[in-house]
Amino acid sequence: MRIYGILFLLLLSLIPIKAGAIDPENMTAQEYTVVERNCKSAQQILQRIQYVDPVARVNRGTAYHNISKLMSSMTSRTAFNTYILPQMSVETEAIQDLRTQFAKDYTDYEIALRDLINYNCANNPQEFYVRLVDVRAKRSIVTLRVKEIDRRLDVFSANITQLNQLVRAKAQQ
Amino acid sequence: MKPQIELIRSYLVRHQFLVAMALVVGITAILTTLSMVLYIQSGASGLDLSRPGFVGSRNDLQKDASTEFESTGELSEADIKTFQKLYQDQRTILNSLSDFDDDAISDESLGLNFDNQATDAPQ
Repeated sequence: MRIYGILFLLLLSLIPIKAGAIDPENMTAQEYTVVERNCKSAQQILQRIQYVDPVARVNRGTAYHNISKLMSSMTSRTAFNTYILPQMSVETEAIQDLRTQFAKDYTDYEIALRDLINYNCANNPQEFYVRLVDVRAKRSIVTLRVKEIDRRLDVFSANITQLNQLVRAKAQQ
Repeated sequence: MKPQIELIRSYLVRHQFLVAMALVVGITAILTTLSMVLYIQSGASGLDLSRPGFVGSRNDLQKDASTEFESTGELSEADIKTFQKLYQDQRTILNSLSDFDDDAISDESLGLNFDNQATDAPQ
């Protein structure tokens, strides 16, 4: 359990390295000009993303809710039938926590993206790029959260396979 | 000071209806502003697909399929198979959705191509 937490923090610490292609604090004159020239069109592209992302967010939220409900039911039923698979309840609880964190992380990202789109970038291109790097970091956290949920769901699937073997063994007795 | 207060008081008494209406409008405006601030700051506005700009996006929403599985009762291999089917259906939906990867907002995707454009920039 703890090792996965450490792994997640380690991946999180790598985000700023990947987040920006250039260092926003030390922009050269050329880089400054490139941002200044293209920031308005970049904002238009970001605006399109702003209309696409909520659909994925809402659909993910619905699927996470459904899958979490299924996991809870199966965990209860496993316990009801006195099969001992403690990892199932660990994963069920973890998914419920991760769902909450995913929603919070997405909201942080969405607010940062909205601010970036509304920012008057022509006045301060450097600040625009700093904010863009921040939005990328926040989006990366959402991606990491999605991957962590996927990994947990894989573990739960493996537990179901194990449960199936136990049920089969019991039926053959 | 006292005659001024008396003057205001008598004005308010004479125009009770207007004052009441103004108060109602004022309170409504404050509460509406407050709820709008909460709606925007909480991020709820970002997920509200009932807004006019999201008319096309609403068609992309997944239909809510039935995901009922009994939490009590006997557990047979057939029940596990039923569960696995429901579970896999949800995972298939998840796999078809964007995982918010970085590429969508990379410098290249946003047209901030530093390698190609830096040479065109004025010195």
